[in-house]
Amino acid sequence: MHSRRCDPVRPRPSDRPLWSVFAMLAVLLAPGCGGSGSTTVEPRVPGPASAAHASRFLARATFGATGADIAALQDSNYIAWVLEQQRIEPSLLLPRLRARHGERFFHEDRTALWWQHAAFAPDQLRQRVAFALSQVFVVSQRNDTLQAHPDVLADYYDTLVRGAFGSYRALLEDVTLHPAMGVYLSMARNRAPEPGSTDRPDENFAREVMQLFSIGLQELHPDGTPRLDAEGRPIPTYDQAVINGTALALTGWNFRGAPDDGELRTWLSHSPRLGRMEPTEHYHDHGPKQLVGGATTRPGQSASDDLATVLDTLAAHPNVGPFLGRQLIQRLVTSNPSPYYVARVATVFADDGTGQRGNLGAVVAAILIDPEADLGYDLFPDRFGKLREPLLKSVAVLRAFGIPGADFVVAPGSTFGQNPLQAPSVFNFFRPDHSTRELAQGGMVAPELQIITQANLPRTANDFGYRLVWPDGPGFPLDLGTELALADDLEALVDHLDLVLVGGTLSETSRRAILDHLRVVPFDIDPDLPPPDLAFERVREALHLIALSPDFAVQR
Amino acid sequence: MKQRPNRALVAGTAPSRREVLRSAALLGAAPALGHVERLTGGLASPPDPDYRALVCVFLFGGADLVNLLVPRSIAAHTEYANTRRELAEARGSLLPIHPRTSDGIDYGLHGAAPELRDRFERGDLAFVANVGPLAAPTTRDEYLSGAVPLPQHLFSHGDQQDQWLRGDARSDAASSTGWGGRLADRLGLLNPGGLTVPMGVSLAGPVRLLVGARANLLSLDPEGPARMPFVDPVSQPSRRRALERMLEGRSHVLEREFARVQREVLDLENALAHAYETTPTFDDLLGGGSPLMRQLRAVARVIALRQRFGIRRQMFFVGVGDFDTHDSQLTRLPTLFRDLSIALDGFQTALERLGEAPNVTTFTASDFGRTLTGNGRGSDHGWGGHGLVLGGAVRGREIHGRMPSLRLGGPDEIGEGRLLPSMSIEQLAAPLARWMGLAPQHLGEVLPNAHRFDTSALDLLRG
Repeated sequence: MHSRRCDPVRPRPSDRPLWSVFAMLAVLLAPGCGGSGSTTVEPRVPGPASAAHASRFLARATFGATGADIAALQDSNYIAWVLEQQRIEPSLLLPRLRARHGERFFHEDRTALWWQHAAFAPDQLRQRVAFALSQVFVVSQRNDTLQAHPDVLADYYDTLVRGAFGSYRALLEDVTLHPAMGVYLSMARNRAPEPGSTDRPDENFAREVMQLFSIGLQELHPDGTPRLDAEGRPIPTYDQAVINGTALALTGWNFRGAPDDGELRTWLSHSPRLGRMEPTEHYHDHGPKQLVGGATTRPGQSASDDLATVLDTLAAHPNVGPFLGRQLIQRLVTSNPSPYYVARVATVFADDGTGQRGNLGAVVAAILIDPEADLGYDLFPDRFGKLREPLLKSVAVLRAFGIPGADFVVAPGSTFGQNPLQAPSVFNFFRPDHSTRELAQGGMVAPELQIITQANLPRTANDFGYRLVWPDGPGFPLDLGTELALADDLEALVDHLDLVLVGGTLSETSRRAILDHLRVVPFDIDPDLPPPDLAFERVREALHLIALSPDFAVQR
Repeated sequence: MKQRPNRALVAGTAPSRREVLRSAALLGAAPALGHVERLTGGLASPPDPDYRALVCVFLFGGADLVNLLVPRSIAAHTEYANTRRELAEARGSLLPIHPRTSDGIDYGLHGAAPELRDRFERGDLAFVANVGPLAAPTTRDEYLSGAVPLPQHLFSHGDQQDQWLRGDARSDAASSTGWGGRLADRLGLLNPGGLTVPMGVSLAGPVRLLVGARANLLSLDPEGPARMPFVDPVSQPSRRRALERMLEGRSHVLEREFARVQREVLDLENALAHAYETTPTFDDLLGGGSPLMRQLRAVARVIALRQRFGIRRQMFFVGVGDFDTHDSQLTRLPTLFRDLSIALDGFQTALERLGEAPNVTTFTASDFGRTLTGNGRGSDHGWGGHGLVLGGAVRGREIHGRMPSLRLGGPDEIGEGRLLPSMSIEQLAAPLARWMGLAPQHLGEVLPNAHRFDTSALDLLRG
């Protein structure tokens, strides 16, 4: 296995950007292979130092490790794994939903298929990144109009899945012109005010595309820390004049084929709604507009040209790399990345090694194969990592032990405080800077903690109870063959579950507590029922307690 | 060998229905329960005079309350209608109100809010005119010339929400505490030691408003304290012991945060779940099922328990969304106002039944008011906006503060139809804090910029 890790991976031409990322990062990595006698400068291909490292990598790059994936990754290396994942055909929602249900399906169908993809789709990295992107470019079914149009949201999610490894600039445009966004942030039918009227353009999308989808509120250094003025204060990235100018520049768009006037919802309810929004020139403002960073639009430009100028300006802004990079690190790897980590990722955003800016595939690769991701837990065992999103805890258990394709009842979003494309507002389920008094004292944040509340936590925990140990509950269809074979050796059973679910980081405290409990299983035999199957009881009890543990609550 | 699990075989480790019933019966028979029933059932015992609570109802998204409280005099309504154009409410649709103190203009409430009109006319409800975050007292000229410091990132949702919740629109968002939490740091001392229920209770998740330097908040599910039957200490003692052991001695900072929440859930279930079920459900008043009603119902039910827990000061946080009416404003606002009107009225009636109406003051806050001018379908992010204050101690049937001119280019409009607040958050929060018992010398701890404003301007509450 060791020798294989030292084999150079031969890049294919299409892999050039990723390969460049790797070559850049290789400089940062531990000494190369070959021993002291070797003079080759072939960079060492970073691979997992142990099964636990492999499991932790998979927890970041997929919806959760499985025994098989850990073994496969140990025989490969991180870069080869990322390259292979990025080549897999995207698993899309809308075509499968239509194939299964025809034109008429519900958000519940969309969510159920999301679970199947999250747990079992082969393009795991793409799916995990798309879920992260859906929490940056937020639209939500919690909207009067989108509530009635699951197909529009399925198509929006597919847009993120398809664009997960493409160019940021292209994705920003796809998102901007998607009818779901046209509804959600009311960009569709945004009109230039009549000359001389007191009407104003709708600022909704203009504001959020800057604050949330691209550059954020404050000017940033490439390492994500705020730039300060001479008096030590943060520098705003834009002011009201820029919001107004951007809003005017984005006037004149409407749903494809939609009439200019009339009740929009009525039209939406019996017209094809998919497909990019289209410009309506007579509703576009053709004057000059002030944009971010001192840029302006040329007077007389069409709606499409103005849109291109706005998006080009935003995508070129130096904030995007650190602003977006930090959030993707937070969704995939750790809540509190070092400035150096953010800077390395921002560097790749700025240039993937072939001169391309905003190559998301390269950015994702840089995030995952960064030494801080791989070794963060070894170096900072008490602070590295992130709280698992409550929904993803449940998905991880299903992925590790579930039976692909088997049907099960999906829990509602209220069980987790989140569900795909169900955020309460464009500010997502939680904010990237959410913290507590204790964490803030150490300069740390824990975004996911915002939904791990006294109200939500017991619902997530009870759902595990219903699925794992309650005989009449809406269980997951699980294949526990490997685990049952270990049930005679409690320590081996717990070690195995630790490796798959907790990345080999289960604390001694938890390990002892679980083992002591397993030793008294079955502790309560109901005389009305047939005698229990000891192996099943042990496996299920062990799984249940690990699912409830503070250890599993943190992804490292 | 791959095997499908047979769920029947794992029955022995889940609590059987019989066991769940048994444990409920055991706990239900606890002697303390009789006390609760006496307390909440008969309502014979007079409420402890020394109880006071604030309820913050946060209207997320930026509520357009300029369309809730509307000028009705012909000249003033014409000015309003000229500015708001397609967003304006017709004069004839307004429900007339009669403030005790008149500024010479007649006002009315939105037609969807008859319950609020009745509460206003009865003297339970007051409005606070044109309030919002300010870093210093600011005139229109000072704003336009940039002569005074302004709150950061004006007209942005997250930032203005934050300024409301921190009670501070001047410093950066570095501080993690809110004005309610800092109030609790002071007043929490009025609650007996060893609190099971902290002073701050949120029905809308963790919120900075209620976090103090020492004070913690309780985040309660609107359906009441959660139960965790699979780790029930009576029916599942071994599992419960294992879980409790896992919560101890965590070294990872994020594990500690998770374990703390889990610990609080178990403590809360232990302390509150059974007692909570004995409180009146107020189905007739707040059973409508809207998020606001569900949250306010839970607030009323917790207030019903305050004597049992010996609580003397509380502050609740309730939050509802969807007020960001960029589009479809004319169809959305009536629904939002209808819900607000029914829910606040039902809540006030619930408090009256509990005998707590004079002891509880409810106030609204929102990210910002909205632009007076429209975008063709709705309105955008503004600045100053009106607030509601409701309760038995409120100097009701009043519009406190000065109603703004709604004329574009007028003395209160700073461009694009935005209103410069004539009153700061501090000027609203200070009288609320004083009513809760905060001594004047401690006002600066709770509201660090209070000294910049005239915080005695509003005579909002009695006593």
